[in-house]
Amino acid sequence: MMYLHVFSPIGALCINVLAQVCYCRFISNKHLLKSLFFGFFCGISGLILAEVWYAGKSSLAVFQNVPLILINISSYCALGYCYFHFVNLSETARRIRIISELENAKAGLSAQEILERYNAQEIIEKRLGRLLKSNQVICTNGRYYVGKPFMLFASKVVVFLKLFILGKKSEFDE
Amino acid sequence: MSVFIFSLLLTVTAFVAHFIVWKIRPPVHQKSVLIFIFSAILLVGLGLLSNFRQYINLLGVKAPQELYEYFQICIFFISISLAYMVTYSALEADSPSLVMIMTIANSGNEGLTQKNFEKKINNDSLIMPRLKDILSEKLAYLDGDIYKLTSKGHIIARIFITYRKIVKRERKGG
Repeated sequence: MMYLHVFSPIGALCINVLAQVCYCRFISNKHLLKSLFFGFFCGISGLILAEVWYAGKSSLAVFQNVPLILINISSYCALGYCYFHFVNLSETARRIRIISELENAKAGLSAQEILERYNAQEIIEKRLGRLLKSNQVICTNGRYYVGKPFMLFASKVVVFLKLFILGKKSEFDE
Repeated sequence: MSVFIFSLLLTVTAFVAHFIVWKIRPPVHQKSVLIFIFSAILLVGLGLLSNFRQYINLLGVKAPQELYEYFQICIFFISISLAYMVTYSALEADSPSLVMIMTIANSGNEGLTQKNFEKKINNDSLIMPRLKDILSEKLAYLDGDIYKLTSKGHIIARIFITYRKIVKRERKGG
């Protein structure tokens, strides 16, 4: 039973993935973020139920169980975050799109052919479209301005993290 | 409690080692060195804990004694390490959405015209660096001027294409 308890974050991740995939296949494949939250919620519910069940069966005192539960919940949250990133990569990563285009072109592609299939124009349309739709960016008289501040705040946090971890604000900085 | 304390200790040690190495001299192959540091800390840490568990006592907390406790430490450590590494990878490349927002924000009250927007955000800043990355990460190679996938590139492309088919995401990512 101890080993079941130890591997419960992995079991919860499996529930997370299964629930998210089922949401996309049977409910809606248009709301990817909702499916991810749904999957995460299913996983953590399963984990909490398992932890409560285990705590009831365990001979350990409550204060001894709490650190083990925290470890398992932290492990699951970290694994859930990794899965979120995997899905995000499949949806938005440029490298993944490029290698997917190369996978579909058996003879390979030149740089020009890659740019014909996938280029800055498409990236801008998709992303600017999303930013305009959510009012993070507004367009007035043919000029773009920052609208709601959330994405700008997120950008500044990311720039801070890049500076702290990587020692530079941008990949183009020396 | 011992699993909690020693999991945290190993994880913090790995991060400290990572920051020290990066402050001395950021390595060329950063992801490989990161994987090496985290793997080494885990293996050495677990080795020391299991071989000297009779003698180790940290603030009254003894080292883990049972095998399942070591599994739990592994799962926690690997989960947190993976979560950090995916975040690190995401920080390396400038996110187009965040670059767009920052570019618009930096234009201040004047706003940014479509023309100036496209001058700053184009194939040279969005696509060409990623083409260099897929070569340096050995996801693809150049055969003359034709990009072709390596085995590693094929495997990764297949994983993401299959995933998108499973969740019925018809529209291409990127």
